Amino acid sequence: MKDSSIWTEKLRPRKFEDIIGQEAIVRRIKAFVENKNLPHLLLAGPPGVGKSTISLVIARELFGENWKENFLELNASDDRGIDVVRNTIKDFARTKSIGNVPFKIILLDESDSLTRDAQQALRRTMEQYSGTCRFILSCNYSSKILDPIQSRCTIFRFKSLENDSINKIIDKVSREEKLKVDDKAREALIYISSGDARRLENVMQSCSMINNKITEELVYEIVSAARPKEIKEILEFAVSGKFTNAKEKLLEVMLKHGLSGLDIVKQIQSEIWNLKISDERKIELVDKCGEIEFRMVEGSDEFLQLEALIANFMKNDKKS
Amino acid sequence: MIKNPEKLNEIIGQDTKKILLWLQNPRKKALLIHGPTGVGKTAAAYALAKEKDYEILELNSSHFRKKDQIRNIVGEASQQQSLFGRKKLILIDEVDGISGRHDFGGLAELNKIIDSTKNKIILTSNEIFDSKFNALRKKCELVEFTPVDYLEIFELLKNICEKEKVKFDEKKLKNIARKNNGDVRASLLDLATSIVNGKIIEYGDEREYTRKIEDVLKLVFKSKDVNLLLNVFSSVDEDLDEILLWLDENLDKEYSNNELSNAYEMLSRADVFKGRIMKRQYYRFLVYQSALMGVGVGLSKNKKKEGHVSYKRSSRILKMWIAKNRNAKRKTIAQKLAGKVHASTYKVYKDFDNYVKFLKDKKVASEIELDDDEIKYAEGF
Repeated sequence: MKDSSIWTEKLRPRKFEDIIGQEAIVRRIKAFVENKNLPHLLLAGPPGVGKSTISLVIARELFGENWKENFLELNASDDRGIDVVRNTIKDFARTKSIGNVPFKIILLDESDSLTRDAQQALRRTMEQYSGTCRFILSCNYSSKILDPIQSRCTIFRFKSLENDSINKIIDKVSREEKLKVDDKAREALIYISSGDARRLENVMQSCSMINNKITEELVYEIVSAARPKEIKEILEFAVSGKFTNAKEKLLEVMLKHGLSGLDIVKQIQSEIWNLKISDERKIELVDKCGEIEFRMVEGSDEFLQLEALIANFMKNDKKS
Repeated sequence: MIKNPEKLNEIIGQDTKKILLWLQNPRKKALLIHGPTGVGKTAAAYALAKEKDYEILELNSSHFRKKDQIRNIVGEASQQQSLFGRKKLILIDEVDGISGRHDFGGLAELNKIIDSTKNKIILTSNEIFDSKFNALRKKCELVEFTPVDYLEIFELLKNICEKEKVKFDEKKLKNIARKNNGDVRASLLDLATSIVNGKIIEYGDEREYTRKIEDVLKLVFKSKDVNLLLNVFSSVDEDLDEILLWLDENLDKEYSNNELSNAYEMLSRADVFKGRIMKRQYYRFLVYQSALMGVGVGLSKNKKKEGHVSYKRSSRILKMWIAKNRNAKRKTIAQKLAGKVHASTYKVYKDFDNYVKFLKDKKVASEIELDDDEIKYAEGF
C-alpha cells in the first residue's frame, strides 16, 4: 500500500510493538489476539490516544493480508441512525469471514454518538451474530453507552498520553520526517498537544509546511489561530462593558470557524475560570451559561442567546 | 433643479466602490443592490451607466414580468451587443415586485438569463431574504445600501439650496433630513415641494411607510409606560420575529451595562417562546413573546437615553447565510478527510484549523481528492 501523505496515517503504528503508551492495555489485547479469540471491546478515552490505532492493529495482526475484507470501520457520528445498524452492520455481520479466523470485526468509532434507538438495535445484533462478528466500540464517554451494551463488552479505559509517550512520538516523527525540534519547541508541543497524539502530529505537519526546524515561536504561531484566544477576547470585551465589540467579534468567530452556538457556549464555559473576576462571580456566570445552553436547546436563535449570555458578563461584579 | 447623480461617487452614504469592482469582474454577471426605499439603488445603476458610458435597458415593476415577457425583453438584450458600439447594461428594477402569481415563472427565467447573459445585469430589491430569492442571491454579487445618515442628507440638501440660491435655515433642512429616516429621495422631494418663491416653507406631512418600525423601536427603547408598551407591536406591519431581529440589532445603541444585560435576558426568554411556538405550533405563546419583547425590554432601563439614534436593519441573517455557503466547502473537505484519518466529519470540521495548513500541500490535496474549489478554499484560509 502506498504511504499516505497525511502524517497521522503514514506514521500510525501497524504492530503492537510500535504502539507508544497504553502499555497495560496493549499487553492484554495482544494476548487476546495471540489466542485468536476476542470479546466485544469497548474502548473509552479522550481523542488521539490510540483507540482507533489499536483496533486497526488488532485487525492487521489477526487477519494478516485479508484484514480489509474482514474489517468494517464505521464512524458512528457520521452514520449514526438506526438504518445503519439494521442494514450496513447486519449485512456485514452475518456473512462468514475469509481466512482461518472464524469471525470478522466491526469497528464503531465514536459510538457514543449513536442514537439510543440505534444502540438498542445494536444490542440484539451483537448477540445474534457474535459467532461471526466481534464489535469494537470506541467512545469518549462510556457513560453514554447503554448499560446492556456495556455489559456485553470488555471495557478498556485509555488515558491521555503521558509526557514521556508524547516525547517518544515527537522523536519518532522528527526522525521519520527529518525535522529538527529544539528543547523549547518540544515543551511547546507537549503543552499544546495535551496528551493527544493526533493533534500533536497535525500541528507538527502544519509546522513543517513552513520550516523543517521547529521552534517554540513556530508552534505557537501555528496554533495561535485557535479559538480559545478569540473566545477570551470576546469575554474580556464584555467584562469591560464593551458590548458592541464583543457582539461583533462573536459573530465574526462564529462565521469564520463555522461554529454552532452550542460549540461556543462550551468554550465560554471553560474560559470563565480564566477571567480576572471574583470566584463568586465566576460560579454565577457558569450557572448562567448552563441556563443559556438549556435555552438554546429550547429556543430558536442561537446567536441571540449568546448575546444574552455575554451581556450578562457586563453585570457589576459585586465582590471585586 | 434636482439632478440625478451622474457619477457613482455622487451617491451619498453608500459604499459604491464594490459596484465599480463588480463591473470590472468578468466572473460575476449580475449585481443585486438591496436596501430600503429611496437610498439610491436605481440612481446608482443610472449613474454607473452614465459614468462608464453604457446604454441602459430598464425593466421595472410597471412591466408585466412573466416568463415570456422577461425572455422577450431582457433575454434578447442580454445576448446582443448594442449598435454604435456602446455597451449595454440591463437594469431590472424592483425584483421583489415580481409577483409569484401574476408574473409566474418570472424569477426562474431571470435566473436562466443571468446564467447566459453576455451583458452585465443590475438588479435592485428592497427585500432579498425571502426564500424565493435563494437561487438569485447565489448568482449575484450582493451590495447592501443602508439608510443614509440624516446629517449626510442635510449636507446634500444644503448644497442644493446653496447652488440654487434658496434661502434656508439649517434647522428646517435638518428637520426634513431627519424626518425621512434615511430616505434620500423622499428628502429631496420634500425639499422641492417646500421651496416657494426661493424660500423654504413648511414641508408636507410625514410619510408613514418607513417610519413604522423605527417608531416602534423608539417607543420600546425610550418609554417605560406599560400601557403603551403592551400593545406596541400590534400597530406595525412587521411580524414579531422580524421585530425581534430589529431589537437585537439596535439594543446596544440605546442601552448599556446592567440595562443591556437585563434587556437581553428578556429577549432571550422571548426567543425561548419563539422556539416553543415553532416546535409545537402553539401560537398563543405569541402573547408571552410579545410581552417580553415590549414591556420586558422597555422596563429594563433606568431612564431613557437622550439624543437621536438611527436604527439599522439586522444584516446578521444574510451574513450567516453567506458564511454558511462559504463553509459548505469546509464541510465537503472535512468529509473527504474524515475517511482517511479515522475520525468523524464533525470532529475534523471542528478541528479544521489544525488540518487546513497542510491541505495546502499538493500531495495531501490530491490524496484526498480535493477539487479546485476546495483547494482554493483551503488556500484562502
